[in-house]
Amino acid sequence: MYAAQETQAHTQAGVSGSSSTPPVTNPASVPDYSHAYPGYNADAYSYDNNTFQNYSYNFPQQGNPAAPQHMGGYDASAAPYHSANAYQNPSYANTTHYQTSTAYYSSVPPGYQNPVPYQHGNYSNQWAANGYGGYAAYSAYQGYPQHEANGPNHAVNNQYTQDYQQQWANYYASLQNGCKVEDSDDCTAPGTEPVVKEKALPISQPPPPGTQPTWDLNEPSYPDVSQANNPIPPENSGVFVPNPPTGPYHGDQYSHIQPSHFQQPSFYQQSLQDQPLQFKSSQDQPSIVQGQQVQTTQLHIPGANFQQKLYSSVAEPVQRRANKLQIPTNPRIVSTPVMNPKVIPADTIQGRKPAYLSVEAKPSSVKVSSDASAESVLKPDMFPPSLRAYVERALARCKDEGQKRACQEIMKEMITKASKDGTLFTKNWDTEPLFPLLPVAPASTNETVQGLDLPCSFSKQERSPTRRAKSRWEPVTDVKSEEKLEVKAPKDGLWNHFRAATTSSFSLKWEKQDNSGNKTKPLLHQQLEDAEGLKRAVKKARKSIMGDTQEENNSSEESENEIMVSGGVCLGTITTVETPEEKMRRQSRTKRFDKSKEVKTGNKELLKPRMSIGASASARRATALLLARSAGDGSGGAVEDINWDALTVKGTCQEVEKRYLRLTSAPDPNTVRPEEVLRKALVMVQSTQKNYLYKCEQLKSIRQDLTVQRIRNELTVQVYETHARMALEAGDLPEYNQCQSQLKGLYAEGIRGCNREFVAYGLLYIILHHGNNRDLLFSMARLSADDKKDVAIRHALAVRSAVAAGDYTRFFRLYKRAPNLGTCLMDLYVEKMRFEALRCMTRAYRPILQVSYIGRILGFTGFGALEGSYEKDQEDLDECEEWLRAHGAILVSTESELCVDCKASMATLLMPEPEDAVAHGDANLAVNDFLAQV
Amino acid sequence: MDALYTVVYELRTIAEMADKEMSMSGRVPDRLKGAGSFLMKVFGTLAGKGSKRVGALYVTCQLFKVYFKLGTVHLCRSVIRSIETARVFDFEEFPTRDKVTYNYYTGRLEVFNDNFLAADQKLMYALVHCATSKVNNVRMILKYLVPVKLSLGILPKEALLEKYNLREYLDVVRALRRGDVRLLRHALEAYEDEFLRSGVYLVLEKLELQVYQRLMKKIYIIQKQRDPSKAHQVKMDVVVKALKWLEIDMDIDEVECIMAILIHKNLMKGYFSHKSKVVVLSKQEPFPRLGGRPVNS
Repeated sequence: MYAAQETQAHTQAGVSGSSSTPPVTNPASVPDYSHAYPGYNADAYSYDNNTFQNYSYNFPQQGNPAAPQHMGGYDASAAPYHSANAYQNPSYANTTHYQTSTAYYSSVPPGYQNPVPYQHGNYSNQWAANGYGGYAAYSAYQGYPQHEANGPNHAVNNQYTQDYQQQWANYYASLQNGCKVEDSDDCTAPGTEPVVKEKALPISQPPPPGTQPTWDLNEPSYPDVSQANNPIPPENSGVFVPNPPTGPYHGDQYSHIQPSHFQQPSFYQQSLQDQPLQFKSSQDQPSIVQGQQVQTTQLHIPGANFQQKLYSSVAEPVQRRANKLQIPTNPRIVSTPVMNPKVIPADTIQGRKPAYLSVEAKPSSVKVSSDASAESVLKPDMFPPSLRAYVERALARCKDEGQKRACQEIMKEMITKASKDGTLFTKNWDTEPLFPLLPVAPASTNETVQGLDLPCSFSKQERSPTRRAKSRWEPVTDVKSEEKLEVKAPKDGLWNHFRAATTSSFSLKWEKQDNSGNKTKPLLHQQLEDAEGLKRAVKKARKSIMGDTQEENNSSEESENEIMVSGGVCLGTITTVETPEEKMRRQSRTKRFDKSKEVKTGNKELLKPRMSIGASASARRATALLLARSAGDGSGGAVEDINWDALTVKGTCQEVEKRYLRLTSAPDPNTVRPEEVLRKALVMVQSTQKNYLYKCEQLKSIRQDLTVQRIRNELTVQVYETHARMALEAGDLPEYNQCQSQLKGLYAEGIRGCNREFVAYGLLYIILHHGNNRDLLFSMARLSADDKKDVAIRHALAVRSAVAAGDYTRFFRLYKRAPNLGTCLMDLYVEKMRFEALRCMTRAYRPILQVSYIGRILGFTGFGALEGSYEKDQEDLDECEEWLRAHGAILVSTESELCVDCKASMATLLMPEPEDAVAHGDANLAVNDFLAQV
Repeated sequence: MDALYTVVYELRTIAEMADKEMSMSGRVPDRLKGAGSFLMKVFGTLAGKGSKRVGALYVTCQLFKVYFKLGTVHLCRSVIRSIETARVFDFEEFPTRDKVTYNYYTGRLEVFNDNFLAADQKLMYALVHCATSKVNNVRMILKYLVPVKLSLGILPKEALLEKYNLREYLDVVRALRRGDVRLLRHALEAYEDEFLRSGVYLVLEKLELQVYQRLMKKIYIIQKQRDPSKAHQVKMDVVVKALKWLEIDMDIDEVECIMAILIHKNLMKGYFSHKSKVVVLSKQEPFPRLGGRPVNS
């Protein structure tokens, strides 16, 4: 993995540098493209089909071998190049070759891999040059069929393209043979498999929930499958139908996908065929899908001008999406050499745009526009109400006539397609994502749409399986690779991006394909969500990729993680079996995600149904989004959070009172109180008349419930503050310390409470009980200027200086004036201070010192004066006298007053054994209470 | 050995940079910590009888730097113990630069522990053996040595402070010379952050008693000039007045307390008569010079 990543990084770096040109060409070509498109579709499609088939027939041998190899590479993608090498041809297999062949690497990577660099806009003219050069070098590598294929494509090598085409043809044939489900031809799925093998897909791919697991399983077997596929198309088809076959199927898809990617490049040169396919795929998949498509289209761009034209119509929005999408795709690309070619094209900004257009076109095709025309095409009874709603939704978004028209066209095409596929009624239109609007160039979109001419284009598409296959293949590959990646490296950050893209595409796909139509996902919401997630994902992916390139060998965790991610992408083929635990975790993560989503968007109800229905698919998507989000937040280690969250208990206990028991096992939700109940419990504890032991136990159980449920908010702070105060009042320093340290962490998290009060307590505690200069300095250094103005903190600092100077007068004055519970903390130090003071006094004063003075200075008396009761003062004085005697002072009676004989006392002063020492350690706790508890 | 030095040094500096980077990106910086534990292992292997034991002190110094940076100074103790107790080490055998660094850091540790005599000893060693051309190193040593010396009653010349750019101590020293409590407080306030960071704040703060002592001495001298026969009796209201003149508002109880503490800490010889509110000073050397002894008898 790591090695592979590194290699990738290297390649990326090289790529970024080298690839730089394409953008320029794109804009120019854009306008024309729209026109070209319509015609293109019709003609190209047919043409493509023919060519494809021909190719397949002609080159079956070549294509097949190449495909298996590719497959291998794919599977191995985890260790992108290395694995690929191992799998495939010996020549290719050699990593050394890869690395050594600088030409290949440098040149190829640029083209292939780094989506990022491309995105950055380096895609200019160089791309062609570099890419070609690289490819040429590539071609030299016979061992690397796929790569070569790519290279050739760019370089206009017929062979490769042919091979690819052949593969496709084979696939297609196999599909047809194996599953004759042509009717089912879905607009579904990202257009990947479905389009190409549309017929096969529905069958082959079970409903979302089921499928995902199967997919995972398949992955491991993947390599074999791929090989199998290539040699024997028919087998593949057979495989496709049942779930078990899915495994192989995947393999096939992969292989197909790869070819498709490769093919794309070839396409430019040869024909527009790819484009139509791509378009389809894009259409099938909403924004996310678009990204994939975009990539493919981008590939085309460099090669073919007309593609650029198409792109032009797309306009900026498309680009953005493409970028977003790219991120997800990038990982793949990077990981798999095969993928790389695609990626590169995708990277080209301009190329993306066209893809975007295509995407739009696609949705339009799928869905019937609300327009009269569209409706006329689709008779009212023919449409399910959900479809009508969908159409209305779509139209509602349109801001002007141009947009509306484009919208209608798109929907018309969509519906036509759906009806042809037979999915018109099976599809869940409620969950169908709205196709993206073309805000920038509505006119161009219109044109393209018109050119497409729904019926024609559809029919053509269907007729020309090759085209479809291509287009769908491309998306399929992406999806599959993504899926694999997801499974393999769910934790990785890049992953997230990837996943976001993939999952979304997946879910969409499922929705479309799904007959159950369970998905109730709000389209708009989802789109927005996706867009946002993608954006973030893209951003992050870019960043991470950049990071990879920059610090390939960096051993820092981050880089490692990222590398892992990219490696995971590359390794895509490396299959990880999805264990039940994994599923569970996903599920839980998804839930969490949903929850957060609910909070944010208030779409709770909408989301929930979807969740329940398309469990696996939606879960994946949700996870992906979640991951993307977390990634966006810059929290790289979100994985653990997620896991913890999944395990977090949600209490159901309604008892306000609960005894504290140290947990020895996982908490039982039935005995854990939810937050509302804990609030009541806190109030109860605060108002209860019972003793500290009871309160302490109750508070501890509250704290436990909070901890178990991972509640860290104001309530938590309140509980700890309450407990800390009560502990202070009771002189229970250990408990106070626990609370104080917890509060420190809570305050550090920004949760507000009585921060300064407890900072002051903390200072006092250090000063009086801890006695560590360094801690004290540290705490003091952290005080802000504002902090120092706080009464409690000022008091604490004054106490500190008094203690430092041994200034007992000031200390006891501060003792009397202590704010909050400072007195309680100081109480614990008073004895020591008094004794020190007495020692000082007996040494300094001669010959005698009045007890009344000592009583006043040492804080025995003075409280009475406040209350105005002389008796109280007298009592205090008696207490002082008692204390003095207890500490060995020698008292003498003079004329009027009792005095301490200082000189005599000097030698006799002693610290008496505490009389009130108790066996259970705390005199403040009544033994009977304690025993009662036991 | 050179290779080892380089590796160890690079390890620490790179870890520091990594931590900086990590904290900037909002993650928990734990690289330096890891470097610390790794260096500890390196130290373990060096601390044998082999010829490489002379490198142990260098590693120790790097460890000190790590621990001081991390604020986990308590971890220094184990290293120090093995350096000072292990028989394989002959301290004089180590390179001078390591000895200087080692003494500098151990001296700082003693400052933290309020062990001024030991701190003085170690820092003086560092100062004496430190190459005078390394102005910055000398300054770092003086930064801790000056407060230590001050607390032992030894005042530096202002020229020294000027030379090594230790201006933050100028006012402190002046306050000590003049018995100007206010000036000391102001100086502490002005450089509070700096003193807190370097860890000498608490040391300097304790100088206040010495300032009081100087003040009392001045009062005593003035009284002596006026009336030598009654000079040893200092009335409390005189002191209160003097403090008021310094804009320090203390009532008589507080001043009494200060006097008691001065006497208790042996900064002033004599006794205090509570009844008459008079400090009766000893006729012989009423204000003993600290002269290198720490306060607090």
